[in-house]
Order: sequence, then C-alpha cells, then structure tokens
Amino acid sequence: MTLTTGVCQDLPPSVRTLFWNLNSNVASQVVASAARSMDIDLLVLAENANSLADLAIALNDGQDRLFLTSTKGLPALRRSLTVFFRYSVDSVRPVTDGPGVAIFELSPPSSLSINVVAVHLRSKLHSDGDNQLLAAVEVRELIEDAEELTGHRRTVVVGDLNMDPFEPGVVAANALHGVMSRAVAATGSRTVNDKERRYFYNPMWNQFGDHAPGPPGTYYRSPSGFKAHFWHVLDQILIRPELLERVIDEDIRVVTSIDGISLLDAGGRPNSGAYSDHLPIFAEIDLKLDFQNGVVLDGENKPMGADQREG
Amino acid sequence: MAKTNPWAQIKEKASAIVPPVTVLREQAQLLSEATNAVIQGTVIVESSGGDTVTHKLRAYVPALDNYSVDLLTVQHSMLIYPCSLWCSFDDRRKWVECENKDQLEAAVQFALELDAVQKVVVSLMSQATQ
Repeated sequence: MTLTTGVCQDLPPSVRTLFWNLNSNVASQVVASAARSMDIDLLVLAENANSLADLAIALNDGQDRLFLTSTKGLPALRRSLTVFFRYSVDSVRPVTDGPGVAIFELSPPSSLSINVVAVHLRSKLHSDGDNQLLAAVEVRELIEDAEELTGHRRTVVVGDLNMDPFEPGVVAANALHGVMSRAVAATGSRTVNDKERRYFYNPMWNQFGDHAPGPPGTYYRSPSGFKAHFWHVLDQILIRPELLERVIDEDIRVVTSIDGISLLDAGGRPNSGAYSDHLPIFAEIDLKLDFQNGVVLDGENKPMGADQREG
Repeated sequence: MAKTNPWAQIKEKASAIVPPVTVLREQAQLLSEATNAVIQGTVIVESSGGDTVTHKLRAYVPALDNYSVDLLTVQHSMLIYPCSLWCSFDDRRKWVECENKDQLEAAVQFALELDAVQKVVVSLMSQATQ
C-alpha cells in the first residue's frame, strides 16, 4: 500500500473556482492577481503560455496556503489545460482524461468530494458543429466512466466548451445534456431511446444578453456573415443534480475586472489586446459535510458511500 | 465495572508524541514554501503490511515533467521511536538511529543541509525556472 500525504492546512468549507482561457496572452502575474483577489482554491486555465514554474512563483509569492499542481496521470493537463489547487496533492486524485478533458476527484480533508471535469474542447476554427457534437458525446462517456470509478455523481464540468449553451453538443441528451432550468435538472434524468440520460444544470444560460448580471457573454466575435450572435458563452460550468444545492446561481459570475483593473475595452468587450479574448468565470461550490445522527451525508442527503445508482 | 480506566490518559499521551511523519511533513512544507511550490515537498507513506513503516520526503517538480527524487527515508516499527533515517546523498551511506523526536529533527536538519542535498534542490529549481 502506498499513500501520499501532504501538510494539513486550515481549509475553507467551499471551493472557489476560477476558469480562464488565457488565449496565450495573459501573464502569470495577472493570473496570480486574479487568484489572490478572488481567494481562489481551484484554478483551471486553458491556452496558458506561462511555464508551470512561473505560474507557481507568481501564485505563491507571499502566500500561506500554497497553490500546487500535478499532471501525474492526466496527460491532458500537459497539453491543453493547466490546473492549480490550494489543497495537498493527495486531495486531488487523477481519474481519467481524453483530448481536451482532464477529470480528477477533489477530496479536501473533512469535506465532500467532487469530480472536476476540466475541459477545453476544439473550437470552430478547427472543428465544425457536427464534430463538436460527436466530441461532446465522447466527453459525456468519459464523465460517466469517471463517475463509475469514483462511485458518485457529484460532478462539475468547467472550462471552454467552444460551444454555446444552446448548441447540440451541450444540450443533446446523448452529449452533455445541459439544461437551463434547475427545476428540470433536479428531476435527475429523462429517458430517450429507452436509455436513461442524466442531466447537467447549465447556469450559464443566465449569463446571456443585457439583463445578465455581468457582460452579455464571455467571448465576443463580430463575423461578417448573415448570422451573428456577437456575444457567446463558450466558458461554462455545468453541475450535476447531486450538487444543485451546493451551488447558488449568484455565486457563478463572469469576471470583468481584477483588482480594479478592467478586462474589458472601451466598448465593453473582452480586451483581447491587453489580456484574453475570453473573460474568466468564477463559481463557488459548497463542500461542507452534512451530518445527521452522527452519519456523514453526501450531496443528496444520503449516507456517504451508499449506492447512489439505485432508482 | 472496572475500578480504574487504563486508557484515561491515552489521548494526552498520544498528543504529546510528535511522530516522524510529522517531522518530515514540516520539512516538506518548508521546501514548498521556500521554492514557491516550484519544488513541491511531499511525504510518501509506505507500509509493507509488516511491522515496518517507511516515510519518504520527496521533492516533486511538476515543471520538469513530474520529476521526483527522494531526499530522506525514515523507517520505524509500530513503536515510532526509535526510528532510522537514511539520506541517499549522504556519503556516509548508513542509517542514522534516532531515539526520539529531538534526535530525528537534528539528523534531518543535518542531512538536508548537506552540500549534496542542497545542490540537488538548487539544480532542480534552476532547471524548472529556465
């Protein structure tokens, strides 16, 4: 038997998560400033051009709780994604990965464990809608494999899907099956073609348009053709029904400034010249353990370890 | 009902002992802090299922394709002291016996300050930050 142990530290009861596609244009100091100003616990980056060492030095400069990283067991983290976490290395267990996908189980001490699916899927510059849909089907299969391996469905997907929440790869029942309504997601699943299809709740629908709490999306593009949405919400967090009560919509937001410095240009769009063409997204997930009669409960108020696949 | 409880002081007695793994974890944390976690100090616990438990203080460098090197190894039986300390970079090539936490801390300090160990860590840091 081999165990890896780190140093115990005082841990917060929630995981404050930041995802940012850096478009290879955000310096490590800016990333560190974002992580510090938002007191981030889990940092997921796509298109990061900074070295791991530069990021570690910037993130940990003068910090008590250190940001660590590990790519062991998840080759995808070396190719297209970068993950830093402020937990001991034994709190982060690699589960599986695929092209543009890295899945790990986050198990902070004395906290609820969750499956984190970090994604950076291919963009429409390199893939058409059909191929994006087919790739999303494979991501769903990877997620289900991971849930089988970890034995629970407390799963969040976070990253750049390179698809909007309304596109087939995100919506289709045999792909990510992300729905815009908590009430629908709370029903758990629906049957299509005689097969049970489990939902994700996709809170990013709330981030569209001028009545969103932030800007009208996370990414702006002005194409020349007839069809143009201009703003897109490519950067998303999707939540399994098992975690619905652990994430409130107000704790999910598109980040527009870091330490008072705007990430937007004068037109209110992502300032891609100075930073990235994507805006970061922030989410806070409650990992407090609940107890009932001395028994630790999981996210569904069932005793921890009980078979969650019944019914 | 028993006249006396032989376990009445057990928690106090246990909490008064600092086990070797804690000594190594403190050093792991110091290494991580000193390098801004470019080099991550970790402690690996290995149990063969027998009486001997082995702890390794490992320097792990994600930026160097997850390169890792064991700096120190501590072994002990179910009774955690005395324990034995081994440093791969110590020319003496012998296990150092430590009767208690103070002796272990002194031996660990001595080993980690060896030129050979310092050179290894400096080299890792230098390569990782190039």
